[in-house]
Amino acid sequence: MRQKKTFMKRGQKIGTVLVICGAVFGLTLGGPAMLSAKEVKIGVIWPLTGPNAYLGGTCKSMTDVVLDLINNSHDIDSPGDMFRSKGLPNLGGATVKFIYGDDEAKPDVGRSAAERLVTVDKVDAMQGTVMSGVSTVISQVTEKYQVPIVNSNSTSPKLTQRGFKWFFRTTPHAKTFIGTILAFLKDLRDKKNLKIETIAIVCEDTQWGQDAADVIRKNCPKYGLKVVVDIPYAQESTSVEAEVLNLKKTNPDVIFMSSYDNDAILFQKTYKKYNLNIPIVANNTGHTNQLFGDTFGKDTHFVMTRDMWSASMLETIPLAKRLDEMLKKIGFKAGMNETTGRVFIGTLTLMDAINRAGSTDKKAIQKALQETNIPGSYLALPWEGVKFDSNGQNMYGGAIMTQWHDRQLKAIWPWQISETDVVWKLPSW
Amino acid sequence: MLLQSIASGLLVGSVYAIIAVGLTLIWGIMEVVNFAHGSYLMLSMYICYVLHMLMGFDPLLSMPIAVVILFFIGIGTYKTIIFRIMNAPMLFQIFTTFALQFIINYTVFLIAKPTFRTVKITFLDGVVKVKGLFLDNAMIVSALVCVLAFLFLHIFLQFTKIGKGIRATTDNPRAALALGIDIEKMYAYTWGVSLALVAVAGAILSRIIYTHPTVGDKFGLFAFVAVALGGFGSIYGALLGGLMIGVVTTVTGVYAIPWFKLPSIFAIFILTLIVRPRGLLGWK
Repeated sequence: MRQKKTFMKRGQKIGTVLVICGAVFGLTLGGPAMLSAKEVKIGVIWPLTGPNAYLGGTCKSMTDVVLDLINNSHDIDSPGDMFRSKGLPNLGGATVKFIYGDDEAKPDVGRSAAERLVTVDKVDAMQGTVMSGVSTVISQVTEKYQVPIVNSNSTSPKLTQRGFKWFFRTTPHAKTFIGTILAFLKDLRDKKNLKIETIAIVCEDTQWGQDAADVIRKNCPKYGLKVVVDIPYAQESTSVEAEVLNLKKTNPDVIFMSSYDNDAILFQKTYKKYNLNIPIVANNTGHTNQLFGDTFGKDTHFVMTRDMWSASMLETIPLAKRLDEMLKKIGFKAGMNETTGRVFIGTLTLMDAINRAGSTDKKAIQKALQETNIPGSYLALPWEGVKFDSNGQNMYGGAIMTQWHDRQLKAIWPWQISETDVVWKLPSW
Repeated sequence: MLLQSIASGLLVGSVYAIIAVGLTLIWGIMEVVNFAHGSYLMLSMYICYVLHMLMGFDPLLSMPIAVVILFFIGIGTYKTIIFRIMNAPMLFQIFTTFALQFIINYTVFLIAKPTFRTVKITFLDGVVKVKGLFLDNAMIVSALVCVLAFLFLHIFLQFTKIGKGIRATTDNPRAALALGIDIEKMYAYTWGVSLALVAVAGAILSRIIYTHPTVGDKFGLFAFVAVALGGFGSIYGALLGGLMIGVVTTVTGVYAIPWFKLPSIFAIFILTLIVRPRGLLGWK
């Protein structure tokens, strides 16, 4: 009897130990890296070389800043308090590693970069890119391989109309932005009594430019504007003499442009050459980057652009000021702007999702992205927040209008946030 | 506005013309189609860009250096590659120069990366207004340089020993050989002169547009159309073809549907082939 009791006691001990071992074993082997992940790999694609290299460099500067915020401790509020700890807190302090790909602003190169990141580097999630035409192709790769991707900069509405389940976009798209531009023009016409009846559309010929052209063409009549000429031009054109002379001949009240950096610069040079003095409202990008301001100085000639940033936000959004300082510290002298603001929000959203997922499991990250609800107080731009609809499109986010005054962009609309009066009647060049 | 379009078109066309003349020289004298022509234009632009960044030279000042460098590159290209395919079937020649285009473009791509680069112009910038026409100073200088280049080419071909040798080789290579003219040397000089002309265009263009590894491809295409329009082998035909392309693209872009600007060149080209297959000034 005593032997039986001793045996049973030993058996219980052994059994208990086995159960505990089994539990620990099961937890550590229960699928891909759970709480003890050492490193989270994110594939990030930007146009680091090619015609949009300046834009790509801008984006990379901000992702480098966010990487520092995540992997080191900073006294800055963030969802899940990610920035105050080192690494992602819900993944046992796992370090985040960005593996960069360069799309050179070309869809085929972007596709190759995405394929490499997914199949060779085996990243856990992705972010990128800028040009809508390239984002279209990259997201086809991530959808095929079921890798979650966050896009913070491409604005073609079609990107979130494809029924993709792994693509999430934090930036508003062209319909929102064009709506802002048209509302501004109508408000300007009504409140300032200006003659704004005819409009010329001058857009580059890739997906971004032509989607913007489609949206504005369809919506102009609702705002009392007549499209008098539609000029699609080849991106990376070597000469725009014909286009500018056509505008001079047509003489619209306002010109709407969607241009990347080099095209915006070429057009502005040609406008000056032919003394074209028609107000321009631009769809951001080439007309918003500091490169435009630095290239032209006073010859920015009061170009207006839809924007999401103005310098006054450095005072009204403390996080923006911190980020501005961090950008300048790593050598990005232009500091905070609309592009870096949007990239910050995209990267933050992805990091927040992975942290909430507590895992590098792609389905878990996808689910976490679908459940994203980041309040506006954590963002570097004045948006309500980040929350995705069933198509993966952020339901929040809006734009303002800014105008170049020498080398600076100043907010001009809505009226309550304007820093200066709108210059509509242009002086001589 | 029509006069302005024509004036702007002529100024732009003068650059296309000088690129086309270089191309037609090689075809007219050696019957080799040089698909790498645009790539050499790009090389000239990079030479001017590098000299601008290192020494602060305006490309107009770097032009003689680019001309000399490209002249010797042309001779080198002939002596190492082209001479081997002189008697090869045409398709073989086409593929060889096509391959050369890719090798040059992607070598530069690897070294310089595809970032777009621009030269900051500090003199002969701005616009003059002549009888209501806006004329870009940079383009006026370009047109003048092109005119000088044509004059120089004319004098070279008509009055120098090498030029006469090149013309003799063009007319009848066997007779030229029999007369003691070293036709291999004439062919090498032809390549050198062709690329020297492209170097002039490259220096001009580097002041106006951005430099990147594939910038020459578009101009190479325009040059082919100009040569075919003007007539293969005709220098004055290439000149006329280049000017026509400049004017047609500008006028079409202003008065017709803007996106038809580029297709209009090819439409005119096809029309010329139908009506006058040898080109406007081509040989019979």
